[in-house]
Amino acid sequence: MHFWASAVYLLCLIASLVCAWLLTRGYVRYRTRILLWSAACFALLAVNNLLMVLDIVVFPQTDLSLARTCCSLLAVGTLLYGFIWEID
Amino acid sequence: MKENDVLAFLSATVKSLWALELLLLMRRERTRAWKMTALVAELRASTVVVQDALAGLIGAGLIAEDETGFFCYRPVSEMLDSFVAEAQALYAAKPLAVINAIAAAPNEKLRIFSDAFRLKD
Amino acid sequence: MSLLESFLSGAAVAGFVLASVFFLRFWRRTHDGLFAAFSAAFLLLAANQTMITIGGVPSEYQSWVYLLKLVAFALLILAIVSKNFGRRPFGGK
Repeated sequence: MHFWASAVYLLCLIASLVCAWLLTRGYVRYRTRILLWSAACFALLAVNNLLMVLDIVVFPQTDLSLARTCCSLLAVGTLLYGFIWEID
Repeated sequence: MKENDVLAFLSATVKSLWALELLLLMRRERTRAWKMTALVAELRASTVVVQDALAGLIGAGLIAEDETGFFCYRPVSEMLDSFVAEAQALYAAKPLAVINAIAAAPNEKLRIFSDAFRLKD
Repeated sequence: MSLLESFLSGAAVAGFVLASVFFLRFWRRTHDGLFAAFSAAFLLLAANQTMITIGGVPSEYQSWVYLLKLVAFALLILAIVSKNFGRRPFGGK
């Protein structure tokens, strides 16, 4: 069970890192701030997934869930900030 | 002609940076009629991008397509042509102002967002 | 789960739902399937966060809840892949 869980979160980690990298690359090229905010969102989601993997594999005793929840909230908050100020 | 007028003209008629490059290319070589494939090769763009840009510019009355599938620069009025001439000059003098005017449109931002996920250019 | 954490988690759920709605609007505006995929993914992230908060799940990795997250990120990967290689179910205009 733990093996599959950590495999899933590792996959999520890679996916969010890829998104963050592509969006950062887009920002460097076009300087459109919406890309910067979205890149930050996916970077934070990546941190969230990294904490999840750490939680399972490295520190099974400690509960990192508060830190993870903060990451999720910050991530989506950043994205919404970008959408609200840059697109409409 | 005021700079703001030219920028307003651009953000109303030219929907993407590809469309701008396409328009300026075809105006520079206005005597030439282009096949779609030639435009794709010249701009090193994808067929979809050029198709979209052409459709937008035909709708704006700047480019015409003949029955044999060739495209050429043919503005429907003198005034449109002078707007494009001004745009060309402005793009040479202040490229960032022109890019911003086009890229600031909400739909263009969404396109840039979506295109950021293309691995290749 | 502490009261503070439940509060933050609920806020995150609301945020994910709102982000999903934004992506839905972008999809309606551009007809670009990438935005539809992102919308669905963020809705699944909201569901995942909800299950963690009210599902009484002691820890996220001990249950099927993580499958929601797997599907969400699989959707993002799928959207990027079809943007690049597909016959444009997600990638096109």
